[in-house]
Amino acid sequence: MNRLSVKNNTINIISDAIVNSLGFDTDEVLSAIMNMRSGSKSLENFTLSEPTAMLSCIDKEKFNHLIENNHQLNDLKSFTFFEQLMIYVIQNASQKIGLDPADPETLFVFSSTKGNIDLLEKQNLSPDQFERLYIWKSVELITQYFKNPNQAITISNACISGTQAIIKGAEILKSTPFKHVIICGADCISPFVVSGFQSFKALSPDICKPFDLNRTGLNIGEGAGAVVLAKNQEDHISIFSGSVTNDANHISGPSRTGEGLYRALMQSCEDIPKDKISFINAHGTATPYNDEMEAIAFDRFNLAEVPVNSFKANFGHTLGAAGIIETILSARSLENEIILPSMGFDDLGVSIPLTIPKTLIKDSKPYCIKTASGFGGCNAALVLKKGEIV
Amino acid sequence: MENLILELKEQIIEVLNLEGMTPEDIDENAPLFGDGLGLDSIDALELIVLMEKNYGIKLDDPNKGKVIFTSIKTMAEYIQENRK
Amino acid sequence: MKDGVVLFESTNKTDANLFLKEIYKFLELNYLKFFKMDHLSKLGFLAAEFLLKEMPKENLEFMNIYLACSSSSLDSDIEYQKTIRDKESYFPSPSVFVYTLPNIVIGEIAIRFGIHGNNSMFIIPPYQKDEFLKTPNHFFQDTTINPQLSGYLDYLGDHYKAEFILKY
Repeated sequence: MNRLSVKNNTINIISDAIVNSLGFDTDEVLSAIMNMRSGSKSLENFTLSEPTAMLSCIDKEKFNHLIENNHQLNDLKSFTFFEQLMIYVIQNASQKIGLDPADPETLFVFSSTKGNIDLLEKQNLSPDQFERLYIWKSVELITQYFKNPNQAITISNACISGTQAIIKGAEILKSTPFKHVIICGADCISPFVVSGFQSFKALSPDICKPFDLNRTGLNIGEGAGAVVLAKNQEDHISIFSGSVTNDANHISGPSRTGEGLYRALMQSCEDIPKDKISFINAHGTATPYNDEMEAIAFDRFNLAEVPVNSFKANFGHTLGAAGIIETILSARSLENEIILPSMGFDDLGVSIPLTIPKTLIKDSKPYCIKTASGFGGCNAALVLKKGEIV
Repeated sequence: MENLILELKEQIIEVLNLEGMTPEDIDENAPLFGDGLGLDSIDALELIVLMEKNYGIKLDDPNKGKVIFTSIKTMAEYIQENRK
Repeated sequence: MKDGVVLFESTNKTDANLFLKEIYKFLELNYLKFFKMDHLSKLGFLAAEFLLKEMPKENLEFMNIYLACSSSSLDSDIEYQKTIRDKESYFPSPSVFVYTLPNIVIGEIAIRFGIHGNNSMFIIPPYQKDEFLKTPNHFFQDTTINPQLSGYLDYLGDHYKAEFILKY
């Protein structure tokens, strides 16, 4: 069920857009990662749990300036920050290729874990405001803004939401008459989310260190990403296959044997020659358990020799946006024939001897894998492929 | 100490949603984790909250917690020494 | 209700917590983790229990679970917010926080029955419920032959509902 493209029917990423702590478009973010920059900063008293929190925030002043001065955007004042982010990246990704999001042959797929959750901080919400707590309401407003006539799809499956939304989008294009699917994911930083992760003792006070011996936890980030998928655009990166599974083990801790991720890799990477895989972009949250679990899963599927990187030190864990932003960066890596450095890594801290690049590497292998795991025991693996030169 | 142990048992039953259990069912010397009560990692985190909320004791190092939470008895002893 | 037949009816129509506990007892369950779950997870767990309790293990391993809800985890979100709202009584609860995601109910069902298959939680407006239940891999037919558990469930305050379908 997981091979999404067959001989004459590829599903390709034809446009993308990112907003996160590193910048407001994909090129800016990509360049920052190539130069090992991080958008994470230590903020004081963000919650009452800890005196500081290492967070990867979007420059809101700059973002407001961008949306106010973008003549292709209507007045977005009635939208929340979360909704504005989604509108901005959808607009950006569509406009780059001259796609009108109102096109009836275009479908939206959305991904978010918490939507407008910061509204809960307010006392005495009006019924209209309360309704904005429903992610489907935000999605409805955004779809209406773009005048798209189709019922959008919204996935909320913890941290795999973004990766799963891309797999879903590809499945839809493969099996329906839709011509384009626009996939958009976003999540924002809030005391609600940060305090929750602090109660799990899961956050690092410093910039996180995926797969490193001295890793102590994750950094929360915020962001939005959008990709546009189309059929048979062979000069673009294709969504080759994808799979979603469940550990069936624990609702917050990952399986110690990497069961769910191993199954997802097995299903999505069955026939792919391992020596043709350029890199794996891991979930790599830098918690003691996640990174070890991923290493074990990679090893179980004999992928231990494939270079592994994580972007979580560059712009934090962006939750519902993570799968989308990180897939975009993985696709761009394949296109540019590079493996991006895994910031934060110094010494191996997992039981499998993985290769974690500390600098930019040139590599022209055609496949890469994006993995993701989340609360609830869900796991996803997505395979991207660069077309062969004819 | 007896009162503290009883108090702790009642609090743990409530906070960890140990349905159908009474303080008589819990042996204060028995291991809290592993077998016995079958507590997991989320329960351990809730015990850390309980220490702060009810006894004013802040535990920042989860590894220290492993020793303190060995049994109700060890918890009670730690609380007696450190409560505010 | 199962296949249109009422399986269980409660004389208690007002207290949701009690209602869920009555179903737990009716099903003669011995699963203490149930009492740690939030309302949405309890609701989904019990609905799944009705349908899956007699399912052979080999049908469960690769089962797909596609669920949809409207209120997401809002019921638990509101509970969690209470634990961080007051400066004087600030005690964020990890056992509540873990349920502030709508997909955790899928995790609970997967753990109970050893289900490793495809799974997703979709957020839909209430008026899309019937359409979703007709073709649950969100409006598109699943082309696999795997058994499939799909459903719409929702829990917020005193309002709750669950409609599950099993195909195998």
